[in-house]
Amino acid sequence: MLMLLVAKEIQKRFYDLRFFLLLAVSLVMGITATAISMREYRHRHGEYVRLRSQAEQQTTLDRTYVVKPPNPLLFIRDGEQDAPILLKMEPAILHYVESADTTERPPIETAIPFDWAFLIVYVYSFLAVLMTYDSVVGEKQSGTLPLVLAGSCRRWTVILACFIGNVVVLWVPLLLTVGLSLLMILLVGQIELGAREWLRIGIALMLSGLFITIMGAVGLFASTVFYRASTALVVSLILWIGMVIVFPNGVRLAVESWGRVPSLHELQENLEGARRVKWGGLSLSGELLWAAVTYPGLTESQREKLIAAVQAKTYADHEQVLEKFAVTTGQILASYHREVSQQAERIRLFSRFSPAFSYQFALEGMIPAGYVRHAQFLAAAERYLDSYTTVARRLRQLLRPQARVEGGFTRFTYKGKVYQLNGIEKISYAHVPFDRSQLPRFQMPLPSLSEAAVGAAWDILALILWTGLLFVGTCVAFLRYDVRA
Amino acid sequence: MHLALTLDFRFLGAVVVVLLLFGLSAINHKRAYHEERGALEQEREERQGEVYSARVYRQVILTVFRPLSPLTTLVTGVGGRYGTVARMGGLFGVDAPDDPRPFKTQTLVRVNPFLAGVLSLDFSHLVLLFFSLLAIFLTYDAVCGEREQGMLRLCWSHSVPRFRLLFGEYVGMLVTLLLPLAVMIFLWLIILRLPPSLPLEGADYARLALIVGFTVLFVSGFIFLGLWVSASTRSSATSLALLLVIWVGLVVVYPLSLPVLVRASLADGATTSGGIFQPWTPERGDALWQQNLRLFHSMERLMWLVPTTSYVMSCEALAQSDAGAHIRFVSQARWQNGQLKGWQEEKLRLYPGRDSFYENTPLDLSNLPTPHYEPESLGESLDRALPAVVTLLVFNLIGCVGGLRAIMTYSPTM
Repeated sequence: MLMLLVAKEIQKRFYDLRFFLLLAVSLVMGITATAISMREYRHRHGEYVRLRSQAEQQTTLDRTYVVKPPNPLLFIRDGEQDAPILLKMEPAILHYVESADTTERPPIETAIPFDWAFLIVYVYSFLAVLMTYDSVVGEKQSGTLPLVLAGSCRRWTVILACFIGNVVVLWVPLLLTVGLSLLMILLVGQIELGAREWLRIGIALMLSGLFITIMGAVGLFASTVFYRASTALVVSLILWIGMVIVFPNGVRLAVESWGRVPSLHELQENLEGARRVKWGGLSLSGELLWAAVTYPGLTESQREKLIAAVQAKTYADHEQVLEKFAVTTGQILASYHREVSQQAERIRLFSRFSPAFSYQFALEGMIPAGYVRHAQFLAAAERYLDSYTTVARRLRQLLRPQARVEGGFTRFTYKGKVYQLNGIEKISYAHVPFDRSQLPRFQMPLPSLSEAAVGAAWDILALILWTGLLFVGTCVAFLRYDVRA
Repeated sequence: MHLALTLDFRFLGAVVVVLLLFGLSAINHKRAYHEERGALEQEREERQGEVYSARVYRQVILTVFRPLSPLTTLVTGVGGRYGTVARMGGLFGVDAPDDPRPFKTQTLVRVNPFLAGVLSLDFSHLVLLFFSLLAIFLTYDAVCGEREQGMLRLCWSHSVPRFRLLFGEYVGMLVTLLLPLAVMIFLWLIILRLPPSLPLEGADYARLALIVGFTVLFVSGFIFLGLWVSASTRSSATSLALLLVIWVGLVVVYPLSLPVLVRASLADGATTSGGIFQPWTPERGDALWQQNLRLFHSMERLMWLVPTTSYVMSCEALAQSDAGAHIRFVSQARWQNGQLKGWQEEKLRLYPGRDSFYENTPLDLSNLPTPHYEPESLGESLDRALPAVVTLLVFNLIGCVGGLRAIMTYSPTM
């Protein structure tokens, strides 16, 4: 009986014009999104290759750059369009944030990526709700349902069949769209996909199916609860808007209002404060030199040794100040980055109560993409910073005589002789040749599938819970359905 | 008949959700606006008098600010994303010796890079997404649905002219959709009044009126489109399907594909990312600026083609929150940088060597160009929005003529 009812439901849906609408929209948008993403990937890959080669050429013992490779699965989920792809680092300093300089920024950016996740969250889920909202209520209105229930059919069989039938019908356009898009990717060959990528695409497909099931279940739930198709439609649309747009935006508003992150201006002020401390530490006082020059009872050679000791101490102090400045700057930038990412974490924590965002976060965790991928890039950059700092400091010590030193001086004349104390404001190794093979190579390892699954576990669990909850809710509402109403 | 719909609890429910969403967005945008304005004021205070402490002409750096209009809390656009502060060094680098560029723009807006993908909606995008959809839902069965129920035959058996039926439906639906729009604007005005209040000036009200006017045109265009499709199809399901496909194409696919289409127009080898590693030269700086201008104008032309992007563009132009307002700001600042350059050359002819030779005496700052930003007048904004408005008018006209033609030849029989 169950199979018969499932077949009936599927047949009913397949002949419905809305199915063709869903199929057409899904295919058109899916293929367009894939074509756009492929072009975007080619563009980003070109940028990556160009920047990486230039970064390698520009690497010195003063600074280096790390470049983020593009995500080959960006057609599934991008979410990195606002994140920097190139980070500058100096020993002990990682410049986490892009500078506020917008002079050369092209004025054509879009804040929304056109990927599968966007298509599924904002368009497909909407059409899924439209597909299922009258599944039960339509039969209630036409009088078919009381007839079916008057037979020997159990209620749970009817609702289970309805649920399965709708899920199957919703999955078909999804599978066709994904299949055609992948075929297109394979034929064009711009994105190289290995076994690992295929596995992740498979998981992304399962997650997408799970999310579509949830959104279909939203329509089915409303359809079971209400007695008029129009009421079921409006209630399911309100639920859709609430889940997909209102709730995540509300969470963002609440978190951004209550948990303020320092502005770029405050960050610049903190950095300026560190600079002021540096310049204070680098100021040259002639008092020590004066004391050495005028110290009574010294022979000329003893006086020269004392002056040399004062000079050496000044150099050592200044180098220490410069070192401390680098460490402080690094700490200020790291602390800013921590606060920005903590704010994003808080928003993500509460947003995942919406299935639309659990789905996006689960995708980001499994592929990886978006926030998760950028956080992995930053973690890799932090690790690279440690090894780069260690190697650069060692090589700097070895090559110290070749360094170009800039700095001020203070000078006075005593008994017809000129005495000068030099300071250091900047030590540059930019021109010093060194063995580049000693520097570590930047790598951004892809987390294993099990690691990714652990990271995305809560989101996957939330999706499963939503499916279960809506299914149980639909079943309960259906079992309580009064045929006389 | 359609006005009765406004009392329907389902319609009210949908409107309440949209209003809630809009209210949340407006509060958030107002908070962001205050934050940015505060940062701009702080920056302005810090830069004030900077020029008088200069002791060499190399240190004469001028700064010009672009204050954002309060209307950006309604239509956010790109806001201050591309920069609201321009620093000009004339002959010398603004951040020399680290950076040789004599002209730089910077943003005070903090975009959390981790929040990409969280859709942030403003008025124009809410109208674009929801009101167009509401218009479709109201109109898809306006003609063919009545035919299916047999009402159309009944109606036309009386002496009601066909065009009157079409316009009756149109006016009813337009008023139905304009009521929540009016409530949205009213809600926004209340939110602006809430402390810390954000007062609007006379010109802002005129701009607001025009934005509302464009919104009416846009919604009206979608109603005409819906009626046309409804009067061209035999069943309401076909009509809905066709309209939803058009909606997806106009509202989602085309606007999101635009940046990719524009970038595709770039010559091979050209890049849109800043040349971080290439040494800066005045020629390269100019070439990049020209490329940005070309990209912007290509984008603008592509936006004019379609009513949805035209609508967003016209609203953003009126709120001065689009990339065009930024282009205007940078153009003015670049011109002022040229003025500063001329002034520096003249002063250096009078005081040779004073570009870097330090003397602890004040500089001769007579005739120093005053940096200022001339915001776009209402007429200029309208001029810029004109092609987009023409597209909206053409959209309405085509929908209206198409609808009339379709209904005149429509057969009410089953």
